[in-house]
Amino acid sequence: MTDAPTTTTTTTTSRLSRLSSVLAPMAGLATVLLLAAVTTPQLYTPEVMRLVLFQIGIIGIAALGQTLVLLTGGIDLSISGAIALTSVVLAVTTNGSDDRLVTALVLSVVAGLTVGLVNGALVVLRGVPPFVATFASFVLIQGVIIAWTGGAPSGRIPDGLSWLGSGRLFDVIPVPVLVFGVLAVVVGVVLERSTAGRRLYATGLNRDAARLSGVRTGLVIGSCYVASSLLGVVAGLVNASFTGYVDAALVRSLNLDSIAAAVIGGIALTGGRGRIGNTLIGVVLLAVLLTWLIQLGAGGGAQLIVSGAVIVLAVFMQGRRLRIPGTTAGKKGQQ
Amino acid sequence: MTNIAFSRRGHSRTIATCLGVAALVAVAGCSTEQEGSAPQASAEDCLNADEAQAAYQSSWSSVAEAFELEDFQPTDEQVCQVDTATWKAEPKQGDSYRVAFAAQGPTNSWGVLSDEALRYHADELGVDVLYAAANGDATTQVDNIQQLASQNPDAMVVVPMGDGISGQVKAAVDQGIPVVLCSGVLPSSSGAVSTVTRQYDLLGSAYAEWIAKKLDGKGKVAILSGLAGVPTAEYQKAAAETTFEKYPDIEVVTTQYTEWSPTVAKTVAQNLIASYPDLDAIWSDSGYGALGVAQAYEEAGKPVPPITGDAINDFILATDGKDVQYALSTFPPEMSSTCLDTALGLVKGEPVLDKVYIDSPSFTDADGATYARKDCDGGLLVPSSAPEPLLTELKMCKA
Amino acid sequence: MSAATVARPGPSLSSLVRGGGAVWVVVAVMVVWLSAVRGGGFWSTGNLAALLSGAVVLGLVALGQHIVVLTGGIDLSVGSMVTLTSLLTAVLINGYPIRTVPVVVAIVLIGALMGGINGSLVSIAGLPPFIVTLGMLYLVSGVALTVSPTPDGRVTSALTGFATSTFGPVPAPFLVLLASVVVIWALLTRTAWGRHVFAVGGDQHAARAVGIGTTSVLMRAYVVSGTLAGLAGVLLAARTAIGSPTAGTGLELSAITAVVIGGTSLLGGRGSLLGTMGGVALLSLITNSITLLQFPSTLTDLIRGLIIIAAVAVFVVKRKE
Repeated sequence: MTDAPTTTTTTTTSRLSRLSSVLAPMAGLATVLLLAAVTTPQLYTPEVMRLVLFQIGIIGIAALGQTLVLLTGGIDLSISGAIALTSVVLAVTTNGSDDRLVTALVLSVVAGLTVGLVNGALVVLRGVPPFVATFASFVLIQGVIIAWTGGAPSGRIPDGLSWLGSGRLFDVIPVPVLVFGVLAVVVGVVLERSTAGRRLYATGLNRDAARLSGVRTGLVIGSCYVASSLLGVVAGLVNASFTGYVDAALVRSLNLDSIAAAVIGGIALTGGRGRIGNTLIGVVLLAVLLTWLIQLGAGGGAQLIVSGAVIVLAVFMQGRRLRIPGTTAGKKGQQ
Repeated sequence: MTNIAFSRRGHSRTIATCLGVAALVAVAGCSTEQEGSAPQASAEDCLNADEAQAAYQSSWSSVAEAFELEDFQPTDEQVCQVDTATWKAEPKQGDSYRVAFAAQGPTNSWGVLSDEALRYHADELGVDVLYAAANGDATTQVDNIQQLASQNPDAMVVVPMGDGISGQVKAAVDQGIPVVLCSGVLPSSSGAVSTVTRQYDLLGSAYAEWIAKKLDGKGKVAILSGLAGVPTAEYQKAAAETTFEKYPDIEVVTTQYTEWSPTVAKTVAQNLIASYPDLDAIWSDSGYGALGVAQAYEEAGKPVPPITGDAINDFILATDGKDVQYALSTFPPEMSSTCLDTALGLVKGEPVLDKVYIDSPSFTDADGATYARKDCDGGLLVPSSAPEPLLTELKMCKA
Repeated sequence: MSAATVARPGPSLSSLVRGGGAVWVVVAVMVVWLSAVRGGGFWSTGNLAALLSGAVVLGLVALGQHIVVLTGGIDLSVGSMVTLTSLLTAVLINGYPIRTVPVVVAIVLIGALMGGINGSLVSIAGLPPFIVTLGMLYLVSGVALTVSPTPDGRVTSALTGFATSTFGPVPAPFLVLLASVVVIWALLTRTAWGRHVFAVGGDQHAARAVGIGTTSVLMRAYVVSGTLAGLAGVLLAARTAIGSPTAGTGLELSAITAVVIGGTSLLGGRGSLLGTMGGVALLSLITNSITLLQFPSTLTDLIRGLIIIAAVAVFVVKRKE
């Protein structure tokens, strides 16, 4: 990385690039909102807006974990596994009664920790490409769930948890979006203001350089996978308490949605670039888009086509931004 | 520099390719000779047709009675007896029959019970089972059937995952293995000897007719199907659409997919409430779909419109004591034990029908309480005709 | 940059892994074990035919994936391309014998075209392959669902006949896979493009610096992957006779797994075709043995998961620390 910018130029250029990095998704959001105003004005009714907020909450929590991992230059395909595992743990341990809720919560966290540690160990200790490592643990989690529950996870989620999924603050704001908001602030502060955050960016930008300057990169990367799985557990709790029933069906879409949200918002897949604001706007854009498509009555095919096109378009815009002369060093090579 | 040169060349190449593809497709489109589908079995040698036909009719009349439908006519079907002399055989290996079972696999509670009910019944009868799971995927099942056929079983029971397996079923039949289709249908070109199932058409149109009756043939309806592209969902949806077309004043305002998940269904229903506040009824093909819908309406503080679905224990328990109008029926997984009986009937030379239509109780909210099973798992389809010891063994019900 | 991609010159295991030999050792052990436990069943003509024909589609897709991975990229869209091409094959032929040949040719070209779209976004626009092909995965599956949400169309008896015909225990489609492997092997080892693929995957900047047209090298890699996916789609349609909008779901992940356990580095520039084919053989054997040995159905996913995770942990070529 001989082309790393010097500290003095970084401040101005990074501010510029930070601004331009949210411009494209902002423009996209504005476009969708305008199109929605013309085609489906009912999107702006309080009921639907609440729905959008709920979607933001549930996709957002998963996307936060995804962001942390993406910043290290990795990817986490097992988030949805952690989500599914959480709801199964909840249902099997409590079977709907509040008595064993605490035990169930502890076990969920332990399950999340295990998933994160396995991912981290594979990536850091064995040098397995993150994509493959986390996919392998996703398959394994599915296998564990089927073997454990005999193939058909079922059962109730305790009512004591229902506020988390379907509760509302002041009868207006869904609790999931609040949870997302609080977590986003926490993650944002850690990333922007703490040593850990600086180390994370350094590791993501250039692992070798970070290690040479004394950062324990393995620890940093490993913790990101653990954090991602734990955020997956939180998303799983919210998801399970939304309906109060175990539900393994939803799971895979959340995996891709969390990646899509982060990428649309402008988090670079190569690691080290992007802030929590990028994720935030990506989540909002995706949630509005998905809700709008349902409002339009678009079929499954059209929804997939639009999602795919938006992802490619978002990255295309990012690519353009990176080419602006004098801002950044351009496309980063393979790590 | 090289980029520009390349992209120019690339452009002309792409255009040439596009033209080529278009030309080929156009040539293909001009041709007219289509390979005919295999001729249907001739009607004249239909054995014992009356009795068989009556069994078929009764599966329709029972649901008509339960839903109090006056004019509910079965679709045209001809049921005949199979000439079992062709298939009668001694066990190929040892003393007991070996039956291959190309199953859906334990991807959901329906699949688990379908698998286990057949195994349980096989144990009772002292029959060996060769099992392969498709995990819901037709392509996997093609491989499964080929592999099972290579083990030379006496008969085969297949839970079809899609029309794509027809060719492989045909190959197995040609190899001399009698194949019984279970909980699903295939085109007659598959050559399957018998089909044991409940009709998707029956369920889809019965739910639709019940809604039409509730609405007096006038109102706005939403269709909530299961999973796009999956035959189970698409056939029922198609039957519902055909039925609703008969009623000019019933408007299907939207069709959405619930993925058979209460979470997705709840999200979809919240959208419905916002977009169509004046929905009069909801046609759903699943109880989990209906469950999500009911929750969404309750949370919005609105009455739940008349709704349909399959008789999932969770749904009945959740609506217990609430003012929800529903019509439910089942596509019972435990019919797999009848599939095994049919397959064994073939090799033992007993009389067997080429289409065995399973009847299963249908009911409305009036009788919901009598069908609910508080001692059982929420995912159970009620009433279940699976043996109680099996349900206990699977931890689906308390002993 | 280049320092990061150099493998630790290490013990014999790692060189065996890199050469693609390790996975074949595991395959051999499994074959010996299956022969011992279920010899008659495993070696029966029918079971061998099932094993080989089950490997064809995965093999073709893994072949394309292998090349893309060698360039340092990844192709997540292969599964959806197989879905779309197999659906289109059935829908366009729809039982008309005269259409068989033109449609098959057109479908393979459509595969190449979709690969070309991937290729141009990656090479000309310079976008990250992961996200380009992820977007294409969504897009192409959406198109397939739009073409037909239900199983539709029908191929001709000529195609189904081809899919079921055998030479001894070897199914005809498997010969297509063998031929493709030979062609790709020749392309990779005997042509300038093949050498450039390795160079570009090893270090794109260095490759460009020595005058290799990286754009065209990358472009062709994705076109080859798309073409092979198209071919796989045709063979899948021939095997199932009917088009389905979900036929190839998840194939991309199996293909990538096969490439990785074959010892090919996802970082690009290094890997052996032999290893990737070993990965395909191992995955096919696992599927075959689960039915052959009659494992309890609820444990099959767990077994599959454990084997994949173990293979991945052991066989992945380590980066230099």
